[in-house]
Amino acid sequence: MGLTQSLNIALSGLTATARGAEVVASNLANKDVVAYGKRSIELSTARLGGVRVDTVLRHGNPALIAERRLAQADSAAGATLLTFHQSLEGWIGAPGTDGALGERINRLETALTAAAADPGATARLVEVFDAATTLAAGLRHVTEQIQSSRQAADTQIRSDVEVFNDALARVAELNRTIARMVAQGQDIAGLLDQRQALVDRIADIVPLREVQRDGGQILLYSAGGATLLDGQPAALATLPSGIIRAESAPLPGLMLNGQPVSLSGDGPLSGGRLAANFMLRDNLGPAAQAALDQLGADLILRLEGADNSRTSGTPALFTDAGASLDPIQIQGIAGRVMVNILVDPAHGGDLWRLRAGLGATTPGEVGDGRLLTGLADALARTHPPTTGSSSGGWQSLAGLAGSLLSETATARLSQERTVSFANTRSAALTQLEAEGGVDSDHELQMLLRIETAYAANARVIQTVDRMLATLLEI
Amino acid sequence: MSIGDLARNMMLQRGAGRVKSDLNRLTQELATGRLVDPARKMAGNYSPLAAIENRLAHLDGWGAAASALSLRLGAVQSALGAMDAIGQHQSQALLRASGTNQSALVDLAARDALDHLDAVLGLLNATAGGQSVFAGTRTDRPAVTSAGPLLDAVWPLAAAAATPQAAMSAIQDWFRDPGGYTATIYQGTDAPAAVAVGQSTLLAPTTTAADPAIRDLLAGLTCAALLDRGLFADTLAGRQEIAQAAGEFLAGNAASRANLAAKVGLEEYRLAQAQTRNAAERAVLTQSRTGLLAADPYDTATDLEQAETQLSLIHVLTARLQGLSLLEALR
Repeated sequence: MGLTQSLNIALSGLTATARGAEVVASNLANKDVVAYGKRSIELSTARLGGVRVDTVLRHGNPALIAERRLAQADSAAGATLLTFHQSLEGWIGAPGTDGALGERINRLETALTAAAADPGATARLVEVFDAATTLAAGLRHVTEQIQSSRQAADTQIRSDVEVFNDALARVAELNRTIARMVAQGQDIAGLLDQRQALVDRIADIVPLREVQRDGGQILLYSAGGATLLDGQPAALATLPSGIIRAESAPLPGLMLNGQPVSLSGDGPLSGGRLAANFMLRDNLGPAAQAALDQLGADLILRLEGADNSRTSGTPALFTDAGASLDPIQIQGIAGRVMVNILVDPAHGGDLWRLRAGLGATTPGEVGDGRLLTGLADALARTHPPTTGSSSGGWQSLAGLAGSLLSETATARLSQERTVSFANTRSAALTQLEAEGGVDSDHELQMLLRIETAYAANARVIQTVDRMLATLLEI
Repeated sequence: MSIGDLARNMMLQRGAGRVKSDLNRLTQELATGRLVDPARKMAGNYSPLAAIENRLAHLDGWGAAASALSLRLGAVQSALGAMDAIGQHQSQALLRASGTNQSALVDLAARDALDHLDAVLGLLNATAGGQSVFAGTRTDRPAVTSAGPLLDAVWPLAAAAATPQAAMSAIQDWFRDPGGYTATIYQGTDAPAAVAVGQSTLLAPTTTAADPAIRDLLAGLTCAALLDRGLFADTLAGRQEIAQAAGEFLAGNAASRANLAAKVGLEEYRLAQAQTRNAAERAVLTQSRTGLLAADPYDTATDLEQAETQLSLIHVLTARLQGLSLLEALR
């Protein structure tokens, strides 16, 4: 007891303020880091009267974080699907916009009707040929776009699987380090920040839940119930799918620890960006292609039916890559629609076949527009669906294209609503989480208090020092 | 109680982002007058709009067909007018010549008939837009040959006849016989099939150079023209008789020529009617399309104003809150 004790007590005050300043510095330095958990120090009175720093607390709201992660996964999945729906609608094109599929059909109908009244004019036949070529190219273009977006989804799946495996392995590693450091009584707050950031990354890919264990460890489960991390990390794998085409057979799925795993509906890994990309690659893409194929098959069949000059089995104006339509090979037909080269002057064909028919051997009378009228009628006539449509009603070719666009637009709007809801929810939760983050005003206030406490403790030491000096001078 | 700095930033950023995207959309809508996302207004159902666009495309096609047809019918009508004038003129000339005893007048009328036969055959080869209009579907070739082959073909029939009466009826029969004029002089085909010029409106240019009224006109002119080749050159009475019969025949056919012109006129009328209907339909469709696509300028401008105000408010707020920090006070 005595002056020495006072010195010790003042010294503990200085130590505490130093730790306090350190925490403030750390908080302010990390104030814009999203996964940073705000720190604060817990003080208590030491047995001999000094102040003691109990712990450096790392703040965080696990329930909020868990909910935010689920919202984030929803949002990521929704955004992936929305991009596809929006792109698809753009590729098909709104009525009245240049290059839209419907406009290309309209242009062909106009050209045929105009040519029927003036079938001897080469310019009219060139216009019909041009319109037909453009329509075929349009169908092929949309097919290519659908398939390349499936390919992009496949690439994203692969990169997500890699990120997932990598992040999960690092979380497992951190788990072990944290357990060791907890046992040694060291500060683990920085490691917790790192781990939270890693789990946040995984949460975009697969929605997950985190369960706290002793010694600062965590277990990770997917929202669908699969164990992702329990000491050992789970491993995802996919088989290579090569170049994706409209005609491709079903593509290889996902393996969790060597076992096939379902991503659809309420499957163990459903819900995140990974599942959304699988959905795009294996469901939405092929469904969009099937609808487009129906349009392509309908186009070929209508014109085959209207051209009696050819023998059955030979192609009409539109061909399936040069051949006539085979009703059992509809899959991917929209990507193979070509204008018959018999009418293509650039390939040694003759435009008069547009007027006389694809099976005609002579140009016939130049003023005979009956076939052209027949072709125009065949496109405009309402028809029962050739290969089974979703609505099932009788439609003209342009009507069929309109339905295709309407279905796409409706799906896009509905997806937009879903995404808007998910985004709002995710943003609200992120903001709530951020409210628990570093408040610079609060930290500066703490800094002022620390400054005062430091000055006061220093003054005590100075005074005790002077008192000791007085004693020594005696 | 403390509130993280990041929360405020996020809120302001989100607010500004939303208003800016609104601003973008509204500016574009005001500039173009069209909705940026018409699907939203139509709840995704593009079918009505697609149907309107398709219908407009049909109207374009029918419009082009109607123009081509109108050109052709116009050419036919004016040629028919000229042919009728020739028929009338020639019939009067022949009747006048046959009423006198001067063989020079008959010769002159016969000469005149040959020229007119040439003229009528020329009129039958009329083209419109590069198409031969009297040739049926064989629009790339003249409808009839020239007068020489025609006269060569009928001369033996007329020369073999014993009386003027017999010569006349032999020539007329030849023109009516499917193996006669139609098979040798007429180079065209049957009339082309009807084409669509409007909804359920099919029209065909049905007049060819093989039409009975035209064949009769040619028959009358040919009889008179044969006089110029020397038919019954030795008997003035025989030549007068043929001139008179040909003149009466031409005058008697005026009604069927008028009927033919009326038929073409009716076709032109139906075409004009279809064009009017199409124009009316186009106006209605364009209006409905505007209704589906147009952005209401008043609404857009009001929304734009509001978005502008909101954005500047957010900017003011951001600046104010930035200054509202303990750090500023501590300086």
